[in-house]
Amino acid sequence: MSTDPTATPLLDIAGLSVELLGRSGSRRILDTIDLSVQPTDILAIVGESGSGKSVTVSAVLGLLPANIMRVSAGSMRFDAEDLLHSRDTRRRVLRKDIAFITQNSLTSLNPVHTIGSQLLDMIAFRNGVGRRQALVDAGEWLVKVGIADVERVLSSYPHNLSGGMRQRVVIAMAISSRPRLLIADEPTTALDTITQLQVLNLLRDINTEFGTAIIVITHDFGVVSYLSKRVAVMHRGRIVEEGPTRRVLEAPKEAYSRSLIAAVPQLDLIS
Amino acid sequence: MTMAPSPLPAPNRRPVFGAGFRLGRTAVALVVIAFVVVAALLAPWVAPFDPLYGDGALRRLPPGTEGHLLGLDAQGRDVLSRLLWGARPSLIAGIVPVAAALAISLVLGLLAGYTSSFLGGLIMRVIDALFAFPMILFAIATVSLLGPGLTTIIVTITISLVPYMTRIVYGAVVGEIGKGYLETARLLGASRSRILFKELLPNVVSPSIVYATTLIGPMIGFSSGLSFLGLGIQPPNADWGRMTVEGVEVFAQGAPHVVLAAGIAIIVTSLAFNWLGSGLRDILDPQQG
Amino acid sequence: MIAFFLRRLTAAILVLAAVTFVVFLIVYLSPGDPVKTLLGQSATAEQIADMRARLGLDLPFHEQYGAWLWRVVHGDFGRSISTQVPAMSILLPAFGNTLILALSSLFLSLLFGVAIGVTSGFRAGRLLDKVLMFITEVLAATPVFWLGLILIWIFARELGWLPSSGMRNMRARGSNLDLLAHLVLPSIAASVLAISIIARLVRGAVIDVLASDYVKIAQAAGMSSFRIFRKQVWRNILPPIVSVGGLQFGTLFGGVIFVEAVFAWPGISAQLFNAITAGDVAVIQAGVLMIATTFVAINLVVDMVLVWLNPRRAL
Repeated sequence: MSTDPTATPLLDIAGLSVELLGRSGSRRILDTIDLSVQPTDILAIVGESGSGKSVTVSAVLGLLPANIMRVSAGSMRFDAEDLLHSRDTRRRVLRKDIAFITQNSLTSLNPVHTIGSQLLDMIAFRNGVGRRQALVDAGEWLVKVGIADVERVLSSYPHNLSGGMRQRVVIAMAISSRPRLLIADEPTTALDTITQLQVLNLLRDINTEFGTAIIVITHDFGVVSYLSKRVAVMHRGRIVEEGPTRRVLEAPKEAYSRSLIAAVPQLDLIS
Repeated sequence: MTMAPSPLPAPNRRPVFGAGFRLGRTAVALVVIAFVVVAALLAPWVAPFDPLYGDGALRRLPPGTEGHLLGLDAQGRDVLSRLLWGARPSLIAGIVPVAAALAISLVLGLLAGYTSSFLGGLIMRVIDALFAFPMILFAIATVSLLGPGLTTIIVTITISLVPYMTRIVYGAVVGEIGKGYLETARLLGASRSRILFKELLPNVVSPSIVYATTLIGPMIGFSSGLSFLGLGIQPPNADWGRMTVEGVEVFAQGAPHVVLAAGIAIIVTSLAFNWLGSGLRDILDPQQG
Repeated sequence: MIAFFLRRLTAAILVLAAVTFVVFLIVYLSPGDPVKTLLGQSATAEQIADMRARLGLDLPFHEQYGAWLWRVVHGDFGRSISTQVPAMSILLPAFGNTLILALSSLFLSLLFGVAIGVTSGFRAGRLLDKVLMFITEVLAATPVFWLGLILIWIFARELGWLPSSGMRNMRARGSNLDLLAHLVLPSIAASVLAISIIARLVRGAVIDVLASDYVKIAQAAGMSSFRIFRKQVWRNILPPIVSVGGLQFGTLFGGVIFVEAVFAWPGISAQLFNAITAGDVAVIQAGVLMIATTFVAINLVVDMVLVWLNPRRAL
């Protein structure tokens, strides 16, 4: 399904540069990044470690550590609203429209609270509903992500659940506000192959059913080809190449992209 | 007990400020310590007046009095001179016990951690029991046995520190054993004593020295406290703790300069040793959790 | 849980038994003959021997120890040699006074320690953090007795706001406000070191928690710092706070002697000192035992609370 390039992009990053502040001066770790994500798009960002994938995402989410990192240039817009300079806009957008999941589901959950308590709190916060309604919603969302034993899961602690279950819970927490954009940082890296497939399918379903755009950061080209519609290749803080997944994987234009793709031992194109 | 108590600020395990800032502080600390040590060593030659001779006519005069930079105490003795002379017992009471406790604890900790587990368990049980005694009780007990004085303080503090230091050494030993290389050396045929001295000891000494250094500051404070209570060095000699006691008389008559001088000396010296300890930790033990 | 408690209790009792042994041993070994002190210089050898037999001081060590231990377990700590008053009746009220001081110091330590630690943790690396940590470092290097003197000088002498010593003013007739006024300065002096330790620890714990993924996710959802603190950070930093709080309470008990000396607070250390000077064996033994028991009891309680907070620790 192709998206209309003339429509207002959901997330529009233009000329974004981020500097790392150090004692001996600052260093650019993101160099004039241009990235745009359309509604219902699925964009994969690939690159080696240190390429700036996580920094880009941190910048979008407002998670850059203020003492040592700083946006030095560029703009970030969500649905044409300024994300970078307006604190209120950022708060509002992050609360409702953008969600975030990381690769480690164990550390993504607070170990001293039950799943139920955390899920309810997130739902109540995101959607502005009371606890009773949040409880109902929590149950529904857990079922939607494929968890049958809702009662048990709600009263469990994170360490009581398996990795796959936990990742589903984390996804449930993220999509409970029906966000328009979901950012997934290496969502399948810590999982076994079968669970990986399940999670990828879940993400796909979320995209089709709710129209949620997804940015997935990964170094796994299997994930790229299975899930994403567009892919951006990053290297040393710059976007080297960007385009529809099929095209980039089959006919990469840039030398770096070529070497990156070629480095994968066996590109098992699951489709 | 499941906790490892420590008598002083827990080591700050996060690299908080820039490394440069900390190295700067360590340098300042070294300068201060050098200054204090020199004062202690050279007091007999550098002090402007005799610390024991009091000029009755000049009693209680404040700082700034002609020739007396820091003023005079209740008996007309020059405060600056007494401060310089007092550096020696204050430093000794801080450093010697720590060094002695370190030596004893290294032996005990290595024994407990590396030799038979029965002996090790026994030693650590005894150590646990010793933790039930606050340091002050040890001081009181030792004084009632040995009488007050600098020696008593040194013995007291040494004994009080042994449980804490042994815990650290023991922990380090267990940690090193857990890394597996000692077992490898054993399998390769090295003798126990060789492993002990060549492999284990060097790796255990480092963090132990770091911990010991952080104890010096608090022990200078504690020993001055014991002197304050009259358990330590006896008049007419004085360390900074004793000076504070004597300063209280003057204090009661509205002149705090003796107390202030002694106290600031203690604070600055303790702080310097604390900074030295953190600096050493950065250099010798850089892998922080 | 129960099994853990029983194990710890047994260990605690064993430690206490060891403590009683050491206490008895130290006093037994100390120089000075309590009987001579009691009867005076002009006592005859016969009178001395007589008194020794009566006090049971001529029996072999283990019998003396056994007899003493038996009495102690039954609550009889013997009588003060000098005043013939039961040791407990001297020590118990003094212990109570010390407890009041220790508790109020603990309260201040936790209040300020946690407040400073959390503030520093949330502002880690910035100027406020550096300033606060510097202040705690200086406080940690400040001797308690000296601080007490300075506080007295500033607040009692120069400003006249607060009383300079003692626990109560006779004329206030037991008023609580008067007690509070007398408590302020000594509690502050006693709590300073603990504030420093607690602040550093809490700061470290807060930094660790703030770096965790679940906090990042909460921040990425746009939650305010306050909400994050209340929901995510607070429960996670409680265990180390309890741990260090309990520890510091024990340490406060030990260090309170300096404060009691400076402020003339009628606590247990004052009594202990008198007893030592007078060679009053029974009181010394009872006093030391009381303090040691308090220590052990506090550690036991702290261990149990920690296990209750985090059941995985009962290993």
